[in-house]
Amino acid sequence: MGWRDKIKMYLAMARIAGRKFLLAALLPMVYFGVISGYALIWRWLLRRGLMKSRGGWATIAESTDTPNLFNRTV
Amino acid sequence: MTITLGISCFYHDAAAALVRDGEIIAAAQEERFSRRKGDPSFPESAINYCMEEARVRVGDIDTVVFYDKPGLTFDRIVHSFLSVAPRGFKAWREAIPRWMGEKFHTKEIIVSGLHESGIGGEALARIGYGGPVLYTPHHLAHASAAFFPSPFDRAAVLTIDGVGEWATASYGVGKGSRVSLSREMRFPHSLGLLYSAFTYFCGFKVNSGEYKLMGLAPYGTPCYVETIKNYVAQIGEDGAVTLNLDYFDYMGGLEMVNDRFARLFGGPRRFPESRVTRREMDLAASIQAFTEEAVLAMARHVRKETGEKYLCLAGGVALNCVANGKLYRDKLFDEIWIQPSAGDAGSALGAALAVQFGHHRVARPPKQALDRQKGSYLGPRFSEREVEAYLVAKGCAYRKLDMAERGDTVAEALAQGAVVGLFNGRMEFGPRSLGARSILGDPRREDTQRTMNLRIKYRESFRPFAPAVLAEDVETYFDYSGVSPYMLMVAPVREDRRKKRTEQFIGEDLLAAVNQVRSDIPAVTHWDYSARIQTVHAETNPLFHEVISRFKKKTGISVVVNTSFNVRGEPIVCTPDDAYRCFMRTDMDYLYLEGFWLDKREQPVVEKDDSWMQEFELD
Repeated sequence: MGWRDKIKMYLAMARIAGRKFLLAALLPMVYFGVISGYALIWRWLLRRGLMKSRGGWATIAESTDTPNLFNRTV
Repeated sequence: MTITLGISCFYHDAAAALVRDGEIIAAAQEERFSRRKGDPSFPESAINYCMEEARVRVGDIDTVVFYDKPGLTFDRIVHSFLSVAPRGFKAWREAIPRWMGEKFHTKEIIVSGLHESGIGGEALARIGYGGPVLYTPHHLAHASAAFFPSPFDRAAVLTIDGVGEWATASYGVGKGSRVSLSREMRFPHSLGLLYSAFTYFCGFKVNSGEYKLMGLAPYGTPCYVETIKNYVAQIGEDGAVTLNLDYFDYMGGLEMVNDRFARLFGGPRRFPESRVTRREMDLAASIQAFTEEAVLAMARHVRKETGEKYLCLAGGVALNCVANGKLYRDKLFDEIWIQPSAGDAGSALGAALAVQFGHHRVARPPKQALDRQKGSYLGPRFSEREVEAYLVAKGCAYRKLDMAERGDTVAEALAQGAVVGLFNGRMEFGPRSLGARSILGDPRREDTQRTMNLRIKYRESFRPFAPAVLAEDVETYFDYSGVSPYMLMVAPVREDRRKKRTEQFIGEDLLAAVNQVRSDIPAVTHWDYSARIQTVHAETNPLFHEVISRFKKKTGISVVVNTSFNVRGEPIVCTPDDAYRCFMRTDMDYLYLEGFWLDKREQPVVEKDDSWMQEFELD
């Protein structure tokens, strides 16, 4: 392996390690900072949340010929 | 000419399907190629096969469609965490990197092959796929897989599974080239997840052990039904299921149920592979009874709301053939058709069909023999030349059979009590072996169930085997008069064929129960005198039909034992090599390999090596 390839390899390894580190740091920050905070407001103040929901048949209108149905990811 | 490639992957049981001008050309699960059971990864090999079968290149494909809308699924996941936070961090830490890695990049993975190299990924970009990547709603894909291949021109459609995006069940109507859904049940209330929760609690694997729970149920008594209804889940008059989420952990945890659930049912979950106790048998019977009640209530509601005479079913719960049998006997609908690949793998097919008929406005082709599913023989086939080349290269001892002697040779071996591997034509699409990749046995022998479970399949002794019966003789053996080509209906063995059990089974010794003779076809009669029927039709599988016809001539019985060609934890065999290796590892006596006959005693001696048992993770 030439020195250029070696540098490329080390850079790639550093990038992977950096991404892992960032993700490891970011995940708890987002979860305990944003999600949990919002969740508490959402659940307790707005009285929303799936834990209190009930099963039932909700009305939808979904058909194979609905225009643009297949183009969306949501 | 319009060609659509349907893909399902990233969750469990990845698959690909190719549809041309409304006709299903090919469909296969990735696990059959990768040899990893329930393989969820991008189905490169399955895509490769589908294109090979259709003799098309990537550039010929008009549309590629994914079976799910990832944005909606992520929305549901975030809402789940919002409902349990600050609990649930461990699950969050596991889920989010997966989303960042692949699920957010579905389109990129499909188009440019970032995920892995190979025909499905890299080649799509390299060879030049320039068309759109589309997305179907998960349950619309199920519904399309249920209706479009069915024999009906119009029918009610009911889908029930664990969860797909937000929906856990849905119903609507299929008419001609259109499927529309009008109602859905939403997460977290799910009949499929409830069944999976009990599967997990009884020590079996979620998403693969559900059928074991179903097989265990007849040994138990449904004594926990009231407990389930009082504490865990309720069924509305319209079949809607409401779960008490205080007992479950799947919203934000890594397990299906919590300690409260365990306390309610008398202690911690059964440790996987440990002894099955009476509690698990009773729990299995109870959740099975609950599920049947819910499915029947849903079907009643769908009948009332849609007014349709026929019903199409799909979704993982539609693989519960005991519930299907009850639905059939209830006569709510004149006829029922169930997608043989009812789980998520079948959604690849459903998505492709939905786009063909909905997006491309292709006309729906007329039905063939029984329906539009081609007997579900949609996988790879191998020519005699290919097989012979393999056998020669491998140094196997074999005999080529004339066309006229094929059925008779297999039937004669079965009549002598031998166990035969049958490798014949195109591989099945779906979880059941239907006579293309099957292990066959004599149903009259008392020891067949035990022998095949323990010495050939290496699996739990209590698990029942299914009968494959000539379609024209089904009423001779069972209280059933319809067709069941996909082994998705359970029906009782006729009273006049039953034998009284010598003792009431009340203990925990499953082997003693298994050994009791229950009818004149004991190997395929379950403890409760039921059987999971496959009706065999000459139109869809002529060789298999001939084998059973010849067996009938020799023995007077037109039923054979049919089980999947694999060992426990292994995906069903796909290639001649998979089949030969499985044949040599087990106590099978003969192998029919696409016109060639292999006798175990004549094969080259191989050293006894059980290390392969580590190759497959137990299911």
